[in-house]
Amino acid sequence: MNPNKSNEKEARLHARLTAEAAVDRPEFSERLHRRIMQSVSAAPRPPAPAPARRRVALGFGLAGLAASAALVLGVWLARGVDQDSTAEQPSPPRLTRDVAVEPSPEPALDPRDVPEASPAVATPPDADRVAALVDTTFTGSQWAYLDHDIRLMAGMVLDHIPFEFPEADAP
Amino acid sequence: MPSSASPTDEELARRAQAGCMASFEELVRRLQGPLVHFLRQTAPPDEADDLAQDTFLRAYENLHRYNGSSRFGTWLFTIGRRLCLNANRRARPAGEAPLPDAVEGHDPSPPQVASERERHARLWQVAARSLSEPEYSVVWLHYVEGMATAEIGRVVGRSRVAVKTMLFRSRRKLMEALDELEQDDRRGRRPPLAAPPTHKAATGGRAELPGGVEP
Repeated sequence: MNPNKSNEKEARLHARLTAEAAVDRPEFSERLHRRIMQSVSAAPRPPAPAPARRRVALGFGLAGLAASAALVLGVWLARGVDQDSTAEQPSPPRLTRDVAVEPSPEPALDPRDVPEASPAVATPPDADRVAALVDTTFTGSQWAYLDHDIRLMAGMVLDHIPFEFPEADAP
Repeated sequence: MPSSASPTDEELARRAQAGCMASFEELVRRLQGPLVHFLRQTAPPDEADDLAQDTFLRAYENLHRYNGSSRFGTWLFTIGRRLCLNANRRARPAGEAPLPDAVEGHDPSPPQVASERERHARLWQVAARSLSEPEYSVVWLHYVEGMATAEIGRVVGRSRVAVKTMLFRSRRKLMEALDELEQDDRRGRRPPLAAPPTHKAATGGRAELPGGVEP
């Protein structure tokens, strides 16, 4: 539809509806006004509205509490899982000496009779041993400070949630 | 309408919250007419004045809950509409199922076939017959009260998108009826302009009743 035509029709509709509504617009009724003010005057004075900074809905406060509790619980559970997984980690490989299989001076035997040589186990150098030790130590303790931080954060959140709510008002 | 020097409705409401009864009385003077006019559209017959009184009383008792996030008139009309819906529910004969509300995305019941008499009817009467109660209220609040869609949404308990949709559909129906009425006017068939029946009268007292929530 042509936008101009659409606007014109809208204008006609608006004019018609407002004109018709104006025909029976009620006059101000002093009698009704007295009735209203009498009933209002007889009603108890409403309480003052709560200050803006304390105007926190009960639901918001409870939601914050629930979120904090869930956070702390999640961290606590994660610590428990992590400690279990840390305990199950294999310890660093034992140090063994590799045993070189010296060729036997005996005459060559059938290769199928020769027992298999034990697999060579390399001795990790000292640097690698230290690195493995550091890794396990760090893995076991990496949650310690995070747990501390979470406790601090939860405390800060809880301190900011007001526990004084406005009085319940009966409608 | 208040002049530029007089306080706004919202300022009067703040003063009333602080205990100024004169400010609340001024609000009653300003909004009594528009509120009664609105309630007459959907209230049970002869109950508009009583509902207006209840609305102002309820507003006074809950004045501390008005936080200024909407216009005071919007807040007042919200209370009034909910009281009106509750009154309609009480007035409905026992056992009669309520008409389905206009659900978003679904067209209400199709408009009645325009009879010769309806073509001569006024546009608000056509609206009363062809629109659901929420749609009628939306159209009224938009065209008569000049409310914005967000404010209308607060009164009728719908989102802004839903209000725009209802307004769009209602306009389409009313524009068709407007064309017919204007044709009749040009042909000189228009009857004398009388007070139009309200939505309640047009629907025989069977207004849709979505759940009303007390403020």
